[in-house]
Amino acid sequence: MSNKLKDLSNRLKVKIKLAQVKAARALAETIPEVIRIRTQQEGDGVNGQLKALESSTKKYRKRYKANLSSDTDPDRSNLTATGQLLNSIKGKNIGSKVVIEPGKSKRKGELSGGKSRLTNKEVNKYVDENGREFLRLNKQETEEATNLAKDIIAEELRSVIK
Amino acid sequence: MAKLSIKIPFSQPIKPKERAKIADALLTHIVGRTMAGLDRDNNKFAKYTKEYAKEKGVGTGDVDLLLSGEMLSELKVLSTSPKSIEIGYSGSKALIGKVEGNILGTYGQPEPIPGKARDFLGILPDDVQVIIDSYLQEDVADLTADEIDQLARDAAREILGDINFDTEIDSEQ
Repeated sequence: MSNKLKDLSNRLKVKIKLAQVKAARALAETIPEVIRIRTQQEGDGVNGQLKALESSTKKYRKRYKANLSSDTDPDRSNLTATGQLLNSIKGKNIGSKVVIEPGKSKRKGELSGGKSRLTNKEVNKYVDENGREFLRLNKQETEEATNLAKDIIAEELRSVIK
Repeated sequence: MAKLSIKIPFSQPIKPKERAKIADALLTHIVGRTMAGLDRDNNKFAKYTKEYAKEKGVGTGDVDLLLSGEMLSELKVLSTSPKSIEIGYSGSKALIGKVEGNILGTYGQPEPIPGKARDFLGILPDDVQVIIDSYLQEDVADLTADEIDQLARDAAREILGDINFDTEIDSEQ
């Protein structure tokens, strides 16, 4: 990095921070959708194809086919039984930090954790620990998100550095 | 249209060519000082409550008025004249209400909560003078397109490296 960049004034640091906040806000909106589409439509987790469903799970889903989301079928592993987990994922920014989290509310209906009435956050932890990690960005998504953030920040900086 | 603003007087008339840049420098100073946790008089902001700090994931003393970021990013230079600039907010009533809540310490209550006012909208006259003096002497290097790109990429990587994919179960659940 050149001396010129090392000697950046506080003024520029503030501009960068504000631009980062703007980018973080955009990422908080975009990332949940990226994860939802990849998981539901492609059936991919963070590390490629999601683990196939156990035959007992398939049987169970066939029995309750009428309660299954229209975005899946009994044999399909895409973390969608009711669609509540993926639809609950929310993003928010805390300053320039992005937080992506599954919903904390209790799930509803059949195929939603039975009588225990689990929260989506608890279901996420379960699937994560059982080899179906999806709530992260993969390498390509990280690159795309970086580019999106970079473009937003560069545009902001260009508009304020005169 | 709702408006909330302050006028910052200059001790000397500023030429039009320099005015916009000085206005921006003053605005940026206020935002930067706020993010550093200091109010208009350069005093530390009142601490966050334990509950709010926990929700935000910071210490109670790490007050930067930066949650959604809207309050600081929407602070604008509204007008300039040879002897003063006007900065503040124009437009969203909700945002202005939020700003007023912070300045007065009301936070949605009819009366201010004692000791909770966080007035960031202003600057000490001495600080104005220091900024004007230093700005008029400063040779601000123009950054090239490549340098802006590099800065933006570094800043973007910083965000991506710090994303919190919140998969932990909260203890109170």
